[in-house]
Amino acid sequence: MSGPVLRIDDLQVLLRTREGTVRAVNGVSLTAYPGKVLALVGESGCGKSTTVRAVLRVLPPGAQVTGHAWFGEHDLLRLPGSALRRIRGRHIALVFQNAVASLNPTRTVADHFRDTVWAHFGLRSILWRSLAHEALQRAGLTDAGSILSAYPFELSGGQQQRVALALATVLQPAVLLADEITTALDVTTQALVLDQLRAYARTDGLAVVLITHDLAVAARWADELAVMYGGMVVEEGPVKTVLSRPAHPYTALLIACQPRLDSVPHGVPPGGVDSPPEGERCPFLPRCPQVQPRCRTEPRPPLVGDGRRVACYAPCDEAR
Amino acid sequence: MQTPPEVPTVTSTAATLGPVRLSHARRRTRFHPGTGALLTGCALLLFLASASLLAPVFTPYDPLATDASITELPPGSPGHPLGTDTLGRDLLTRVLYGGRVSLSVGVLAAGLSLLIGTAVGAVAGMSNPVLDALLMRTVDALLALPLLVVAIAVQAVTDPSLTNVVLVIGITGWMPVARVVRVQFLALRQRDFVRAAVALGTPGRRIAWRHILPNALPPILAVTAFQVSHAIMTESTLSFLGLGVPPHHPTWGNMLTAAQQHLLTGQWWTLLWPGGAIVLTLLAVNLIAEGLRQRGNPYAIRGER
Amino acid sequence: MVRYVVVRLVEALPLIVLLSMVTFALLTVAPGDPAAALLQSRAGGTPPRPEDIERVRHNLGLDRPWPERYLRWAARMLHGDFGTSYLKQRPVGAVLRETLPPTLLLTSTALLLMVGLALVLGLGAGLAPGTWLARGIGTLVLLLYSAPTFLIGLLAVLLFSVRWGILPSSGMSRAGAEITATEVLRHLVLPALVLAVGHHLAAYVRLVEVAVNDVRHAPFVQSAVARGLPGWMVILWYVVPHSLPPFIAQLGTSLGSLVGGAYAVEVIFSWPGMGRAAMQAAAGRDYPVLMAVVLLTGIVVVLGNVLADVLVAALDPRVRAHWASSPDTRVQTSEAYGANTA
Repeated sequence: MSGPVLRIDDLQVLLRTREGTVRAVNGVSLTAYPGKVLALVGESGCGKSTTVRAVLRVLPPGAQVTGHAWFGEHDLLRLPGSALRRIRGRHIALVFQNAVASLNPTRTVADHFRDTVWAHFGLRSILWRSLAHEALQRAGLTDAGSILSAYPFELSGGQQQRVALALATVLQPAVLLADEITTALDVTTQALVLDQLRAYARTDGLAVVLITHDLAVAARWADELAVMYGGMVVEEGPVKTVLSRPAHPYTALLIACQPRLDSVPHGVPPGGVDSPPEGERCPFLPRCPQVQPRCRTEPRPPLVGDGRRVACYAPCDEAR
Repeated sequence: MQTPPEVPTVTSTAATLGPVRLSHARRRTRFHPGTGALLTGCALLLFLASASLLAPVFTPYDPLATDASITELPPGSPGHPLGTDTLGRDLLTRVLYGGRVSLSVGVLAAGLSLLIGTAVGAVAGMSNPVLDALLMRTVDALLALPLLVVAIAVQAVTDPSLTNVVLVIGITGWMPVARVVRVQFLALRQRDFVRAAVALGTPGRRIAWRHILPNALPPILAVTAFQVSHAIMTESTLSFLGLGVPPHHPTWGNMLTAAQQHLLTGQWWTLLWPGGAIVLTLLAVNLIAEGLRQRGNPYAIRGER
Repeated sequence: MVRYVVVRLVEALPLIVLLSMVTFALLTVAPGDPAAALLQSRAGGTPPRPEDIERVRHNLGLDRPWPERYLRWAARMLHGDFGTSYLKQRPVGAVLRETLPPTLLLTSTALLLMVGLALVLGLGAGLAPGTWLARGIGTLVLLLYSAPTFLIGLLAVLLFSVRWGILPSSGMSRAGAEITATEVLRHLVLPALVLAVGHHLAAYVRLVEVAVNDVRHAPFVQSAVARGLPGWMVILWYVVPHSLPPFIAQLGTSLGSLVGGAYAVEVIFSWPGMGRAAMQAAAGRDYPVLMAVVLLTGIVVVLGNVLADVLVAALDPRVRAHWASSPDTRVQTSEAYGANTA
């Protein structure tokens, strides 16, 4: 397996809201490998979307980001704006959840492709149409011609999502960040889109970070699984291993109550001004069924392990 | 975090309870946005209004009395801090008395617009779609008329008087109020507390007056404040064009007509005093209107999200 | 799209008819007897005798029942006969022909300037909320909103013509000189600018600012940024088309008072347009001219509204599609965009 193409290192994100400053991401480290699908799961508000947006610096104004996001030898968080712009969409692509909302209603699909290709290739973009055709066909849309001349609101939900996917892959990026792209789709369409996604990974060597709150999706289409809670990664490893032998109490609870992670198992979900500042206790403390005395006194546990990592002082499965 | 609006219990005694007020969602305990503007505007307006209303306190002169011996004195002359005009009348006095006209016209005309607009808007908002559409099309047609031109036309055919000015401005300015009132009525009609009243057999007029109107007040007040501003501005424009109150009465607009002649002779202050008075007054009213608008609409986001 | 335009035009017709009725009613029921006024103005102020008033009334057809008078008037209008000016003893149509082009020139130039200014200022304030730029623009705009247009005109004349002497302040071209394009342009600058900057600008800047502020956070704009589109492209193709429709809708609605402001400016700058003609007609109680001007202005405004709707449809394909299924889009669009008159 070749080296990582995207390495997020101790990412912290502070967001400004009306109620105060929120630490949405509290020391997240993730790695994405070419050809592999990394699933990022967690409840609403755990910081998974923010993490991924922070990589491309597509955050609301006033957000403060610390840490590193290594793409090759570049730290994306330190790059000047013009250099970052060249990477966005071209080498690292971000796909949003609500496809129709992410497309400009006053421009046709063709316009979107032309804009994107033009933004990166300038005058050499006369081939945008063939690139668009190819991208659309690979995304599973056969009637590329009529799709191109249509406006986004004229398409069905599944078509819109696949257009968004095609738009993200038209320039053949190295990394694809997919933020809950199938949440709004029915199961069949979801399967088609995710199959496509995995095909991109396998045949093009695309590194995919797939955000989802559906463990079943992760189980079926991902290679690696990272579980987030309260702004940090609590468990990470090969998907089959993590799901069959969860080490973190939270993961165990999730699997046990079958994921619809937005519904709270018990207690108050994290987030808002309750989020712990850096160095404080483990965020899962209020809800953990396996609390140890040391969990209350020591700072939050670091993510440790080899091949399979856990951030817990009393993991369920003392790793072999 | 948010307290839900109070929903009245539907009992047979509901009709005897007072009008239902919705409690607004509670925000953090700091001032609503717009309070600053509102307070500043109120303070400024209070100052200006009292200066005008208490004019005799501030100046001993008669605004109408001419005195050929002291014509066109520059500001700073003894006894006439702002100077005098071509007919020897003290400018400070005329500015202060002029304020009376402008302010009273503004308030009265806006009040008239409020009455007519609320009536029309309420009827449109409460009745069937056909009547509603008809009324709104009429409003659109009336809005298409260039109101200033209409005011000019009407003023031309009538004798200049304060009443006429108030009437003209009031009758040409009710349309925005009607629109806002209508939208409010349409929206509030769907609310449960109104439906409850309807289910109890409350007659329409009572519903409109006691239930809907009190809850629709904030945006209606805001648009009325804007109408005051608009009325003052229209009055000054009409006066400037010679179509307002009888010309010997001082009003800022006709003082500016005189000022126009003086531009070429370099007596810039004849422009500054009435002009400045207008701007200050309008600024005050606009601040109030803006403040009301922001307070009445807590979901409107200004500036940073 | 063509169908949309045609339907809008057809819809405007009843509005125009209604307008003519209102105009007629206004000037008929307004207190003050036109016959008496006419005689009075001719006789230089002495009150006319009752018999003379009756005679003139009969001559002018003022003693007929008013529905009949309206229909006669309307029929004549449709034939292009707007009557004869009391004051000038010339056909009103000729007066209109002379004065309409200058007014159109002034108003459209001012409108273009206003749109440009509103966009620039609104974008500036909306894209950088909370900064000194936004606050400065907000303050400037509040001040402009608190100054009547004619006052701004007077100030402009004071500064640019009297003090600094760089721009002319009256007429459309130098008296006696040949009417060249540059001369007209020089004379156009000040009145057009004053109109553009006049008190409506504030409302528009705020509209654009709010729309831009909303759109900045919209997913499709963020998605555009995430795809690496350069800033100017995002603003031009993604932010502006979304902020324009409410602006244009509001423009259409307040076209009436915009034109009214133009007339005041015409008076100050002695611009030979319909406004000045209306003022003279008002001073002399010249009804035919007055009615014609009011009606014509109203028609221009109604057509302007249609144009505004068409522009919105051109900018936003959803309006075109939505309208195809429900005809009451004009009202819906305006309300959807939250247009209210300022």
